[in-house]
Amino acid sequence: MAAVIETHRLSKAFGSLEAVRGLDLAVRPGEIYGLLGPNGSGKTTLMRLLVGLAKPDGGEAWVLGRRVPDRRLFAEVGYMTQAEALYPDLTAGENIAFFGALNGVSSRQRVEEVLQLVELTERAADLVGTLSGGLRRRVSLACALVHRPRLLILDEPTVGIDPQLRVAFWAHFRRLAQEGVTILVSSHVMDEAERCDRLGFMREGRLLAEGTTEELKRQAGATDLEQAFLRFAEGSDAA
Amino acid sequence: MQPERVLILARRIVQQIRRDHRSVGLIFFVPMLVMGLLGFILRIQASPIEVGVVIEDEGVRLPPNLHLSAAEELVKTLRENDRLRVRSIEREEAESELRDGSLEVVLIFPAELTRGLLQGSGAQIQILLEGSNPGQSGAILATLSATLSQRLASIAPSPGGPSIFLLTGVSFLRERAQGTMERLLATPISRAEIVLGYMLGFGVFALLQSAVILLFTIFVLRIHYVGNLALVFLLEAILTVGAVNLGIFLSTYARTELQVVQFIPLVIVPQALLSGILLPVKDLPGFLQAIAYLMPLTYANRAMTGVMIKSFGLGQVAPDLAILLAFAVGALLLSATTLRREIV
Ligand SMILES: Nc1ncnc2c1ncn2[C@@H]1O[C@H](COP(=O)(O)OP(=O)(O)OP(=O)(O)O)[C@@H](O)[C@H]1O
Ligand SMILES: [Mg+2]
Repeated sequence: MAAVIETHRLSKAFGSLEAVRGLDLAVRPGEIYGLLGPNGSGKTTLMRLLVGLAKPDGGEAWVLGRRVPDRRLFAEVGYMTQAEALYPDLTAGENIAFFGALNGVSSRQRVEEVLQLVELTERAADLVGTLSGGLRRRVSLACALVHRPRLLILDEPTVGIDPQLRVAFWAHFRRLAQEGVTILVSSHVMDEAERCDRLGFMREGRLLAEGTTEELKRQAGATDLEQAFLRFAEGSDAA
Repeated sequence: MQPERVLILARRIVQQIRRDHRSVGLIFFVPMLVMGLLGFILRIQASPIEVGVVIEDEGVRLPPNLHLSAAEELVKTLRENDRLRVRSIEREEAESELRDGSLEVVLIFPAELTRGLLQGSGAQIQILLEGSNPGQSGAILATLSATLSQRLASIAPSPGGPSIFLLTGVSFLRERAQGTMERLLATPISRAEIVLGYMLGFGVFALLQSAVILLFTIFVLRIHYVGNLALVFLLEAILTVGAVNLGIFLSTYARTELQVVQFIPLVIVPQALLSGILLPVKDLPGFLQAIAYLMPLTYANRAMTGVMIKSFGLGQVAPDLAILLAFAVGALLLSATTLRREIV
């Protein structure tokens, strides 16, 4: 299968609330695919389905050629959750080493490497509970990167990250994509979205529109991405 | 199943607890405090030791009209001690009364006692203890006080359980509330490995805790025991498996750490009261006995008493161990189903 992520009519409901509805998505190898959409539109739920943390109610999804959920995928996927999900009573280095080790990477050197990448080398020995919000986000990202996954699923990775580091993060994402890593990333920041190869716009669990920045702008008849976002989001009232 | 991942998780738990001074205190010092207090209370408690005396001493007839019996003099002294309840019995009854627990000590005053004493030939009082081999000793009171303290010895493993249960419950709850459970489940670690990792991580502390409590009981409370330590630790290991899994299971029904603590009165206190630590189970009214036999600590306590006081071997405590193992496996299954529900 050519696509790294492929879903057919994927659905997930929580009680009567349909968080993902019959969603078809295809993400190509080495692509940075951005998920946009208002709060509650189903981005996180879609990611959890793809990682295998939630069971679909309908439809199916393949990730790296395997039908999810599949245990063997975990070590090949790096998932950065929307919430921090770290142990506050362990140091930054210990958190990264722990998740790395569980994913089969226990080299001290690799931990140093990702610490450097997120510019945390000096704070490596600090307890995560004592770090600032943005610094914790960096640790969280490092935990998703440490085992060199072939697919990165990043849920709003740059929330709370200062602009300087955000630029560095995106440069790194691009570098990884060039090395063949596929990245699915959600974001509410438009200038970030513009750095993606393709974007998907979600609303009420559906993939409403898909394409490059230019294509989405054209489709919405908007002059910039923010305007396009608002048009798509407002469409829900009209529809 | 990969043992390596189990070790990685266990090491993380050890790392976290070691760093948390309050938890270390809860694990190591609270049980000592509880033991110390219990020891104090047991030493002054009203419930006397049941002593049977077999008086075969013929005494010595001294002219003109005096009958001297060392046995009778000694028994009179014993009767004055309100920590002892002294009762005369026949030699034949001694064995069975000791076995069913209605007597804790039997003192046999042999026929030649008084004469022997007078002649300086070193006649001896024979002492039979509950379940143990008949032995001889000149130091009656030492033995009696040993009996008291042996009751304490049987309690030794108990104060540890609640802290392990509490810590597991809270760590697991945190794991879920922090979102790290989600992240953990997104790594190759399996549910079985998570449960094993938790058991191993907390097992390390549980066994260290038992060692500390035992040392404290033996050297600080100066309690004499006859138990097989390997069996004590085996028992402790099984209890830990139960406590850890109960913690995992019940943490599902708690949303805050306070709610985990709220399980203590429900789960721990009835066991502490009814399992035979404070009062023999057979002295409880019928319906409370029935409840007592539904609780693992009852069997743990019975087995521990057997090991520590009667120097029971593996064979003799095997039934209790089997029941405890069944409880542990039950808790394991409950915690496993809990984890399975983690993915929705
Ligand atoms: N475990 C759950 N139980 C019940 N409802 C849930 C659960 N997870 C998500 N939902 C609901 O599903 C819908 C989609 O949620 P989701 O988290 O996927 O949105 P999102 O697009 O990631 O939003 P945001 O931009 O705020 O992160 C929401 O209405 C949410 O309340
Ligand atoms: Mg979300």
